[in-house]
Amino acid sequence: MGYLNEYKKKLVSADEAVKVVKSGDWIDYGPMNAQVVALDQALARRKDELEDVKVWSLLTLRPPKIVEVDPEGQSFIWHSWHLSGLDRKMAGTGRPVYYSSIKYSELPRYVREHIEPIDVAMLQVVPMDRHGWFNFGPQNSHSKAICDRAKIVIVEINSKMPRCLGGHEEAVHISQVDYIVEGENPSLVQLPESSCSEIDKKAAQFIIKEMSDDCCVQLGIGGMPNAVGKMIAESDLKNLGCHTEMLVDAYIDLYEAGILTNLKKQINPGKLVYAFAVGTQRLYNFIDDNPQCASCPVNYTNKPSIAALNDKLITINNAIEVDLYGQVCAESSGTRIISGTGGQLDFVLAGYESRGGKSIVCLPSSNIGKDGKKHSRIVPTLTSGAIVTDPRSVAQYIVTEYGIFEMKGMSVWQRAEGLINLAHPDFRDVLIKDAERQGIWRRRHKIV
Amino acid sequence: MFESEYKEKFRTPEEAVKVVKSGDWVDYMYFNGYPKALDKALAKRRDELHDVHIRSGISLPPFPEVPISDPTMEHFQWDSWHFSAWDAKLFDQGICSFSPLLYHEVPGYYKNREVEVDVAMMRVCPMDKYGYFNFGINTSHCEAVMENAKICIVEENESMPYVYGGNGNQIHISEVDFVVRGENEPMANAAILQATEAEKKIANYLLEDIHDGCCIQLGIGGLPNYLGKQIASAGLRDLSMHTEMMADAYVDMWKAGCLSGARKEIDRKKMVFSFALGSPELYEFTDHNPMIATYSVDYVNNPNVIAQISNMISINGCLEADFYGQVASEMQGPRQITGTGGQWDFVLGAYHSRGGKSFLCMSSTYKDKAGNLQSKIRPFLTPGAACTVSRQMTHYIVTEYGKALMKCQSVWKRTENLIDIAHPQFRDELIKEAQKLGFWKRTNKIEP
Repeated sequence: MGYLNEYKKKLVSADEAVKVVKSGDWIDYGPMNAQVVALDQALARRKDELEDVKVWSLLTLRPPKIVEVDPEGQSFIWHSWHLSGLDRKMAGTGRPVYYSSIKYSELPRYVREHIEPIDVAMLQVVPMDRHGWFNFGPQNSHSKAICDRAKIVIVEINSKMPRCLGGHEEAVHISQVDYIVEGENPSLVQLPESSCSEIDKKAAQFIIKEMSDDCCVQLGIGGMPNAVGKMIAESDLKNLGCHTEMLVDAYIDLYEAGILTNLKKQINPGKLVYAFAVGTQRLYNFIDDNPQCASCPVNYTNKPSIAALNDKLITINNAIEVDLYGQVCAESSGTRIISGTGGQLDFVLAGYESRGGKSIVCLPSSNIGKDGKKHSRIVPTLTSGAIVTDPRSVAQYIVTEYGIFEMKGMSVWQRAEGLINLAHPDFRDVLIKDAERQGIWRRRHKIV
Repeated sequence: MFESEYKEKFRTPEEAVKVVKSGDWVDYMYFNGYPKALDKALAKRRDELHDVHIRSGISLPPFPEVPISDPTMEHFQWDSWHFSAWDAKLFDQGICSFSPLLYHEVPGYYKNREVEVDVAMMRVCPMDKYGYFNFGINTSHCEAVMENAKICIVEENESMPYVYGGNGNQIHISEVDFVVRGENEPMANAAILQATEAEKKIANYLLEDIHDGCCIQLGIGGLPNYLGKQIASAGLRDLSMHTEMMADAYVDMWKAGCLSGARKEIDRKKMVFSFALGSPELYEFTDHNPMIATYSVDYVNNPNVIAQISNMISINGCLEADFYGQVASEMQGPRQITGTGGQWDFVLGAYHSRGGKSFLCMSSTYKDKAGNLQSKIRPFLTPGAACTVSRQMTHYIVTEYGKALMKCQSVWKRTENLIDIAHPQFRDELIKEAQKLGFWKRTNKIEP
């Protein structure tokens, strides 16, 4: 253990470690399950001494103490690269949560080159190995970039964090670390699998028809991608591959069914490639020390020109609404931010760029609003204030429980016709009238 | 050597267009590639034909006769991939539809048969001694259209400049079905616009970011013309050109000795473009010029190709931007006036170029129909306007009041940066809107 002395020298209590934070600092709290716990509690205790400390996070999974003790956001200002349900809840109670728009593949570069320097980075990591490395666990993402950019790096070790083998940039070396805090080893936060409705299953059937043996699959988050995963597990498909941003439980189903071999991938054959994993304990157990899994930074997994090196890359992602021009909103409900772009735009691009690949955006044709009424998610133009996640020039396939429609090369009148055919029958007549008003409905149009 | 084949395939325009049948998809080339004599002959066949779809883009004078010959759209349906002012006028009259695209993908739409072509027609140079018809100043996606059309007809025009490749800039007689001869009418020009005061200020901001060795992509209009002259008089050295559209500004820069192309990593010392639009002097410059290499647009506009060139500076125009940094460059509300063209391609490619930057430029205000001044920086895009560049991708937005960085800025910072470059008359009002939306942080401030 050549690093034991250095380890001892850098080991401090959480309260000692957070003393380095000054008013006005930018700090990073660690993405997802790397979000610090002992350090968070210690920093919250310093609330009255500090002002305007800006905190970066991504997909918050645990309620941060610093937000709880400072509801006005005087001392700590919470910033998120991607909103989780918890971030949404915090924002809903009036706590300031500031979202920064990202194209996820570019995030490591934002962190290394563009954002104001990170004064202090804090992350939960796996205990040090004999070579002096702290593994980042299931959230490679942009963790190495955070450490590279930070003036001070503090790691909070957690013996329950799975060791996720690379790939690359999966760990930080003790020589780059300033302080080590031994935490309370909290269990990882689990995200239950999204439930699949009958509508999700119907849509999934259209998607499955687009898949064939040897294809490489990226599943986004949500009921429909999950339904697709379940359906693949029951299919006769063979030799599928995984090259994804987010590893979810559905991939384990495929692996256990013998369908996911990764053998036919053009890059990283034999490996499940992912940038982060969030799911149940079953998933965390599967990736722990598993040499079949390769944890890679998100500028590798999500970079379209890299992901597209895999032939037959099928990307499946969720949306909130789609307008008759084919603009896709997957992250907001009007002005209200729901999540973020995440890697959707990256994989929508990559699926189309891959030889034989396809990018599929799916959504239920309608939903029941807060007013108790049914609303169409195929809309004439996006709701005012809604964010365009995938421009109409980029999106390829749209799927609802009523069918699948490919938009590339299609004129706006062809799009209007194709998309109205995917709408809930209750709304088709109204949508046709809207299309007429927008001048995108042709005399000879027909609705099936 | 190819004379007998030529004779065998030679037809009058009237004979050649007899191959068009009801229900066919006909492809006219954009810009100066539009086949004038064939179009005239096809328009004469109106009453015999039904539901013939014509795909085109950027219609220039003398304008096509087919769409205006049939205001009922029973015989001809006119679809445009990119509107000129004339196409937009037809759109207002309800006799022109729009097809969204990513320009670098267009050859792929044809190669992958995402769009079908029954008959392709385009204006080309007269056959050379090796049997090739050069596509002149309209390389774009001509080759992909020709290779994937069931029937190819070329219309020779002696006024078409002969432009060296590159690739994708010619078709051989063996691949052509019919040859017709047009009237050798001169190429349509784009007027040389004078820069407005606002454009001059914008050009001066841009000049701050252009240094020796940069590679420049710019388009048409008063701003690029003025910028080209400013670059020429600033005496910058070793600039290079890799652009979708060659415009007069490049000739100015070349004449001043600024444009050696010596530091470009690919196509060193060549002026690379996919089509040219400008003055007769520009067309003369492109003819048989060994410094020039014209390429198919899937090369020139491919973001991965653009990113191979260091210090790529991309300059394009836009119409409005919202607090999120979403940019609309092609529609005024629901009214389509241009198209995405290559803007999206270059915004992405330039950001991925080492040292590269992309700028979307506009004057901060416009006058509405009632003569009132309106801000182009708005809380949200005008309803109905398609978002051309989504907010994750926007790098810089520029007005006559300065440059606003969008990349990796939080929503409150984007809002602040944008209000900073809004017209002073609107800033207070915009701050109030931002406060209402929760986009205004306690510490936000606007430079006096």
